[in-house]
Amino acid sequence: MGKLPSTLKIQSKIHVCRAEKRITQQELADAVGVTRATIVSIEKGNYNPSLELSFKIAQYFGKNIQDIFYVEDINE
Amino acid sequence: MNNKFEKFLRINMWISKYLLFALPTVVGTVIWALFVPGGGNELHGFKSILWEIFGWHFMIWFVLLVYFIVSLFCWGAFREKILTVLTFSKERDERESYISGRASRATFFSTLAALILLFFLSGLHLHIYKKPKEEIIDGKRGTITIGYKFEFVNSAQKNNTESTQTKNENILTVDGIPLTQESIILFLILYHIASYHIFSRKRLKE
Repeated sequence: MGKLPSTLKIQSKIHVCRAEKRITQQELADAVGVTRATIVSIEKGNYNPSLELSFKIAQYFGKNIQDIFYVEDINE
Repeated sequence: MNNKFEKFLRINMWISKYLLFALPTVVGTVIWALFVPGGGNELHGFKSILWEIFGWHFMIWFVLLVYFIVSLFCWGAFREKILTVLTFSKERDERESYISGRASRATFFSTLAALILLFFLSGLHLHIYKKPKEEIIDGKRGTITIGYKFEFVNSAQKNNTESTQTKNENILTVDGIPLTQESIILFLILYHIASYHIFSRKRLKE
C-alpha cells in the first residue's frame, strides 16, 4: 500500500443541502448543536468537522456522509 | 460530581460573587483609612461605629480572598469555572474546543519562551566602565564584565561589588531585571491571557 497524503482537504456540500431544504445556517447550527460560526467555517472548508458532527449533519439532511463531504485536493 | 462537591462549589461561587460585589466597599474603606487620622482611634459616635463595621468587613473580605485564591489553585473544577469567566474563554462547540486547544498549546510555548528569557535576564550581569587613568594598562581604557549568577536565596553581596567599582566611570550596568517580583508576576499573568486570546483570535479568523 502506498503512502497516504499527509493532508486531505475536505469540502462540503452543506450550502447546497441547505438551499434544497431552505434552511439558514443558524437553523442547521441549532439542529446539530454547534454555533453558526462553525457551520460557516465548515462551508468555507476552513474547519474539518469531527466524525460525530459529520454524522449529525448527514443524518439531519437524510443523506450519507459521502454525499455531503468529499476530498477536494490532496497535498503531499 | 457528587452532591458534597456541588454544594462546596456553590458556596465557592457565592464567595466569589461576594468578593466581586463587595470590592467597591473595600476600596472605599481603604480610601477612607488614608484620610482617617490615628488609625480610627480619634473617631467618635456614629463614625466610630461605621469605622468598626467597615474594618471588620474588610478583614472578612480579605480572609475570604485568601481562601478564594487558595481554592483557585487547589481545586480544578472551581478553577475551571472561575478562570473561564475571568479570561473570557468560550468553548460552545467542538470547533471552539479545537481553537482553545491550539491557542493553549501556542500560549504554553510562548509563555515558556518568555519565562526562559526572564530567567536568563534575571541572572545576567553586564558591566561596562572606563578605568581611572592610573589603572590604564597598554592603552586599554574600558572594561566589560559579563557574567551570570544563580542563587536560591537573596544575599546581600550586591552592595559589596558595587562599592569596589565606585572609582570607575560607569557606562552601562545591567544586573538582573530592574522590576519588582510583583510586576514580573503581573506581567506574566497578563502576557499569558493576552497570548491565549491573540492566538485563539488568529485561529478564529482562519
